[in-house]
Amino acid sequence: MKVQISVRHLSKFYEVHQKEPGFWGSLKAFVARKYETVRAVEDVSFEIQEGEIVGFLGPNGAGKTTTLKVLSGLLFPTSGEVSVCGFRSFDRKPEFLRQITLVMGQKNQLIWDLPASESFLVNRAVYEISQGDYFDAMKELTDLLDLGGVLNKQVRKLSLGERMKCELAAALLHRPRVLFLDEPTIGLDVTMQARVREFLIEYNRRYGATILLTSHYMADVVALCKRVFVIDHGRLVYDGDLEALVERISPVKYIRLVTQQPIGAEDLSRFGEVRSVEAFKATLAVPRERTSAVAAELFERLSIEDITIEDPEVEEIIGRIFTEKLLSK
Amino acid sequence: MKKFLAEFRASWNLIIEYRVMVVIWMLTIVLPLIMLAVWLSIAEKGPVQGYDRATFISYYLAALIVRNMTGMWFIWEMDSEMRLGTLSFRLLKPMDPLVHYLAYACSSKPLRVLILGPASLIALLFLPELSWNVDALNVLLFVISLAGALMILFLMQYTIGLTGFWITRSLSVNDAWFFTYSLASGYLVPLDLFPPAVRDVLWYLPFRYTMSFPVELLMGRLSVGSILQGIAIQWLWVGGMFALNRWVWRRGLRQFSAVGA
Repeated sequence: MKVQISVRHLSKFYEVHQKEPGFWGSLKAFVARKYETVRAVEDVSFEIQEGEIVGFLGPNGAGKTTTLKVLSGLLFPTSGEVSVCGFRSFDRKPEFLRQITLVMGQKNQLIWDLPASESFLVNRAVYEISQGDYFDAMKELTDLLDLGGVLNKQVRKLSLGERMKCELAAALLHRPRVLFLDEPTIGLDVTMQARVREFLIEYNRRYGATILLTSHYMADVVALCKRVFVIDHGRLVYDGDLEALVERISPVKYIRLVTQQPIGAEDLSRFGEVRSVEAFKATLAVPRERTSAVAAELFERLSIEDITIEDPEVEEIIGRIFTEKLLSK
Repeated sequence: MKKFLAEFRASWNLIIEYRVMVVIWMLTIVLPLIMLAVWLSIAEKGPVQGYDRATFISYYLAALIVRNMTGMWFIWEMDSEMRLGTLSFRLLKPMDPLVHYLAYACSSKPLRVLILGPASLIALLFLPELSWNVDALNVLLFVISLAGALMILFLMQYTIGLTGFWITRSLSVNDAWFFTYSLASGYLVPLDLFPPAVRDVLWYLPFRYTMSFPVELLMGRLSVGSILQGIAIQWLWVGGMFALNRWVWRRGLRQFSAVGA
């Protein structure tokens, strides 16, 4: 295994000017602008091995996109060192650019008024892809993303999902080894999200590509990433297993049970915290290490029809991280 | 070159997509015709500094062709790409964005030739006052001078577009530039009609080489020697503008990458 992305003590600050609303605010801003330093990313370090898929979690404005832009070479770091595929990103050497790609779910790189196939031909020339490789890549991407029938329609006439699939294809035509994906599934329906996820897993498997992605959809992160980064106010507050994060943040598991006789909260409260109860159904929150013991006891004491033990939803956990500042140092 | 051709092909397809628009654009280049009408009414009382009716017709119809063949409007695309942040995608490709914008700027030219070529032939046949030198050699030199003019204008507009890295509206700079260009290039008024002192100054600026020079050439007013000299000066300006452009580009990138996309 080799280290594909290495970031050491990365910080990125910018100055932005502020404007009060209204006419006087504009006039004041025109005469004397007030600047404020935004600490978008502060002292972030991490390493990613070749072939890893890492999820980048954090609320809006936490510094995720800024980090991706620094890694892909669009932004110059205020301080710190960034190396991707053995290159300093910001030099943006052609050999480096040919190995990476950046997909931004909210932005469009395809030529709007022409079919996507025209954009692909341009990329073919720009990335100097040989006829044979281009043909293979097109065939493969058409299969994996189900692009047949979409390629020759004007981009502006495509649905959001179709367009996103074409965006991905255009970004991967040169078979990059490192993918930076900023909200690649935003706005897509559940089926299309699943499709894009399957595609990314397959691409990663075939080419051993390294993927760093941000997403607001936990399902993306759960399906794709074993490892996650959590970033808040520009600082990396967690780097590790998604499962370990879940355990660390949430000391409880949920026991859901269905009983043969009606039950009430009073029957259950001695087993754990009652989250919900209605006639034949109930949910209990139980400390992680006691779940199996409690489940066994429930079987003994109540007439149980069905019982399941679940982790809390990751959304809930991530939400708690940020609202309760659970990881702040 | 392959990259340029691929970009050109895509832009050309866009032009085909927008073909009606291109024709409308061509029809909106009417400034020379308006100026022609003004001068014709003035020239009715007699020639103005040696420019009579026939000279004005030959001058402004040539100006119409030169403007069509060298005018470009890609700064609008640059402006929107910079403000919407899609320029980022261009910066992440192993190709200088200059190639893209140049291809884009040139892409409507073939269509314009298809329309202006026959139109010029008709004008030459039916307008006896039109005096252009259409020897094969002169036409060849005219085309070469158009290439130089186009490159100067391209680099000017591209450099102005790059000011978008610092100011949000590079288009207003472009408006100011167009005003200067119209006056200093001979687009609005033939440079011969300016006071000699002003004209001398204008000869040392690049603008003359983007309009007045090809127009004079087509009118057969220049000797082969002075044409070759003019073409050489054009490419000196191209070299100078290119150096300036690269300097602004590097500084702009530094700004862009500091402040963000």
